[in-house]
Amino acid sequence: MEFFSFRSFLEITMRVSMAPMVLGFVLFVSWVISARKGGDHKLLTFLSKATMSLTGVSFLLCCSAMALRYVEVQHWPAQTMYEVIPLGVCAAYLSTIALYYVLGLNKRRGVARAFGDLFVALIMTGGVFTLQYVLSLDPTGKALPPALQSYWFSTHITAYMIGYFTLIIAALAAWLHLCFQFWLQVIRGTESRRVIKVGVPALALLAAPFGSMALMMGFGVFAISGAVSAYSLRGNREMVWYQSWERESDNFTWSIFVVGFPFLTSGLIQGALWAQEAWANYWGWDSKEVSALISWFFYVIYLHLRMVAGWRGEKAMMLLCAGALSIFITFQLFGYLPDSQKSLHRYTDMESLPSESMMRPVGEDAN
Amino acid sequence: MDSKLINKLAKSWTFSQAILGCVVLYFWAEAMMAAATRVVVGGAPVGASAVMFALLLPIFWLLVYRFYNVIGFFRSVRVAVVNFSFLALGAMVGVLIQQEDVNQPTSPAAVHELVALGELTSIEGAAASQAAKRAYQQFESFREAESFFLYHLANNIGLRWAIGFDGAQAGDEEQIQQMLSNLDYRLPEISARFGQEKAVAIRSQSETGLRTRAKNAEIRQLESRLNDSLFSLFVVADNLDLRRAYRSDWYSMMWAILFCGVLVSVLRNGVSYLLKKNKWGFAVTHFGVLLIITGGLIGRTTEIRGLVNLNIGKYTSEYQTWSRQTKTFFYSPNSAEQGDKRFALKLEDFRADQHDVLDIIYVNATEDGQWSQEFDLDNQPKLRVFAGLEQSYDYPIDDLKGDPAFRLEVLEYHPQTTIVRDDTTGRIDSYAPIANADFFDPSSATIKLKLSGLNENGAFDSQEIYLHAGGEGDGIPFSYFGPDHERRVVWLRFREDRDPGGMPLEWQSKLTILEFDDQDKPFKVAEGDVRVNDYFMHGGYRFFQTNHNPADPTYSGIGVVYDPGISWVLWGLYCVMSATAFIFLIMPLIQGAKKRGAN
Repeated sequence: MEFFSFRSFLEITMRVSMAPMVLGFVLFVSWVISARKGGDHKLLTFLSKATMSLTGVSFLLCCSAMALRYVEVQHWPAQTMYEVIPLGVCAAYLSTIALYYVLGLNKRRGVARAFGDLFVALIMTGGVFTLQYVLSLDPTGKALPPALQSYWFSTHITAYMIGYFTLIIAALAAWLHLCFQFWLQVIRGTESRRVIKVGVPALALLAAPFGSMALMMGFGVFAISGAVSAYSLRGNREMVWYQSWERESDNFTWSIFVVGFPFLTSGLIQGALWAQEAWANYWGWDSKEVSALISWFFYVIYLHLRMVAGWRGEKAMMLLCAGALSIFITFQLFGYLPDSQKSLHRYTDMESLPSESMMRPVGEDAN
Repeated sequence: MDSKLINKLAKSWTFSQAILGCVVLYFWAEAMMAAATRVVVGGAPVGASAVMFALLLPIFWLLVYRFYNVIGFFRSVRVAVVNFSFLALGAMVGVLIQQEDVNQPTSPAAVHELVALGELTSIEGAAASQAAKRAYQQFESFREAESFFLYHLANNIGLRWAIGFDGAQAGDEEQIQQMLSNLDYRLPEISARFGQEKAVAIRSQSETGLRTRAKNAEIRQLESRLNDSLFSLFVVADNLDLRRAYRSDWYSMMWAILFCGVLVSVLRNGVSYLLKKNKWGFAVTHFGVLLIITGGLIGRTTEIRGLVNLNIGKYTSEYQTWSRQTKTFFYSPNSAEQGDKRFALKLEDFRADQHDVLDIIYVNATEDGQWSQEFDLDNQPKLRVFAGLEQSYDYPIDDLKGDPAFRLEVLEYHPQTTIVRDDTTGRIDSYAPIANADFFDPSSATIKLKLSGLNENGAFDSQEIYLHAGGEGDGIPFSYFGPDHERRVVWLRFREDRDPGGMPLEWQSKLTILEFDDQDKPFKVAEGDVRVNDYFMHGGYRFFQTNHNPADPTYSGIGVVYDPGISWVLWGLYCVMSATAFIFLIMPLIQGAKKRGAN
């Protein structure tokens, strides 16, 4: 295999991404364990900054992989899932780096960095497993059909990828907060809010059928947060490392939404503008378009409830999680929906014909 | 207007009241449109008129005596959120219930006829009208799509048993594993010869293909099991307009509520309020939404869509609409009267440009002096060609990162060329790229290829050759020694890709618009080229490339759209997109910079 190839760089990106993933988790555990000891923890702070540098390296490698794919297929690499998903991972890494500064995670000191490290570790976990999945997909590069030969092809899909993955990150941040809130209530037996008590296990259950990634990020995070909470709260102690996050989580998730929503809107509208140029039909009620519109509606509802009706905190965060589920359905499960069978967007799916002649028993002739 | 009172009334709406209010309005729209249709069509004009009057009465009463309450309703954010939720729910219905083909609407009478026929598993041989037979075909498509969805849903959530299947996976797992292990045995050689990507592609496609085949067999079983239930769902969905969700009156009412809500929100504090700097983003976004809905409404009432079938040199002033009506190109298509000017569309030229590909086929010499393919692949590898393309083949089987034994490089690629061949050998003597070649020039491509392969001494021999893609394309054998010191022969063929299932690189039509003089003689008034993603507009009509026919290279299918609402919608889309970016990305950046400046 050529070293300077898309596949080779994807493998390297996956391996390098493991470093911030592992480091992030180790740091988080270290912060939790050392939370009560105080001090400025210079080494941990240094390593925490290194985690973000490694995320930057992963991002650059992923970008290089995309550039190599561009050279290999001679068009913007976003036609098949083998190309689109790494583009999404690139977008996720870019969002993570941007959010690190937008949310001021870089300025935090001491134990206040714990949550940021866990957050980055979880995003990198998603990145590593996603890239591993991509490497099992059909890598055949395909020619662009005439309808896809448009300048909108690159901007429309890239805007969507940045929007999708940033909003999924927003949901992850919200989900982490909801899980810790749930366990705080269970372990401490504090005032029980129904939105947490019922909503959190319901969301974990709801995500379960959406594949292994959703299971890992749903039930997995739910269970791990339970274990961490139980450890941190043992013997009437406090979750010191969680306190600053608890105060700011609403603003934090809102800020991530603010970055992702314009890209989601832009992706949706660019799709309409493109369809207008291709078929003089800005909206064909194609099931992919409609699925994307449903996701957009979720976020418009969240926006209006938060800005006009004053919704804050857990209720609004639940909506962010539901929006992410809708995005996941649009992006990955759309092909199973009944009305998707005649969708114009099915050209992104791979044709999967078994290679019959290669599967005959060994030694048997072709004729 | 008393904005304080309106705000107070708006805040008084609870979520449950908002749901009730919206649902009442959706039902009202259904009933109103049903009555209006009867009045227009004339089935029962008197009774329907009375119903219409009865339905309009409360609306008039509300507008006259409870005007502020009406405004308060539309101003309420809870109503807006509820309406948005219903819009999303309506869209979900549209995705989960397979939608009717707009070009082949099902008549209610045809569905009633099917119901009267009782339980059917096939329409073959049944005494049914043509309309009922078409409706049954739509049911079959509906049944297939819904079974496909239910099957995957049940499998994903581990409820295979609930749809009557045993085991964890579809098909004979043992047989699938056996076939895959046969494949795995051969893959290292494919990997060594063609690279790891080819091997991964074959593995991935084969496993997915085998499992899909097994799944499809189960889906067919599920279809027959659920036939009656899905038929009932089909009938209910048809009666409630769920199969045409986006064209239903209840869905239109949701957009109407959204329009009124946005309008009231925008104008609630007067125009001067909108001119404040910090309200620009809000104003432009919501104004954009109003434009989009207005444009959509104009489109829905005036839009005409159709197709013109043309051959090179022919012209016509008629086109077929999607509903199979024949219409004439008039400048005012929805109000064409005697004397309105018509025009015609002429196809001056058309070309479908194919991808240029290079086949890489390893061959063995047979006993009768012929060639046979060395690898029994269903699809032999082919490369899409471009200048600078480099590919390597034939790595040592025990060291895939080692040096390849065969390399090819495309030194030059010219998509449209003229060539001179040697009369005796048939090889290309010389070639010349056509300068400023027109797209419609059918000349084919030529490439200059550098081939390098190991010789028997372990050194590389290189040669440069020219290949032309015209006709059946040019092919040559190239021989070298593999890493195992065995002689290999690879057959290289450069050609235009016309394989079944493929798509052309591009297709394009050259059109002229003709008008007619007093003697009905045509004369040219405009001309333009159309290709996918680039339409041509004349007289409010948009013409775009839709079809071509590989069997008839002179044919071009030109899509026709007349929709005065499009420009409204486009402006609306630009407003929403730019204002959203302004509010959420640009403004915070400006504010952040100001803050930093102040500090």
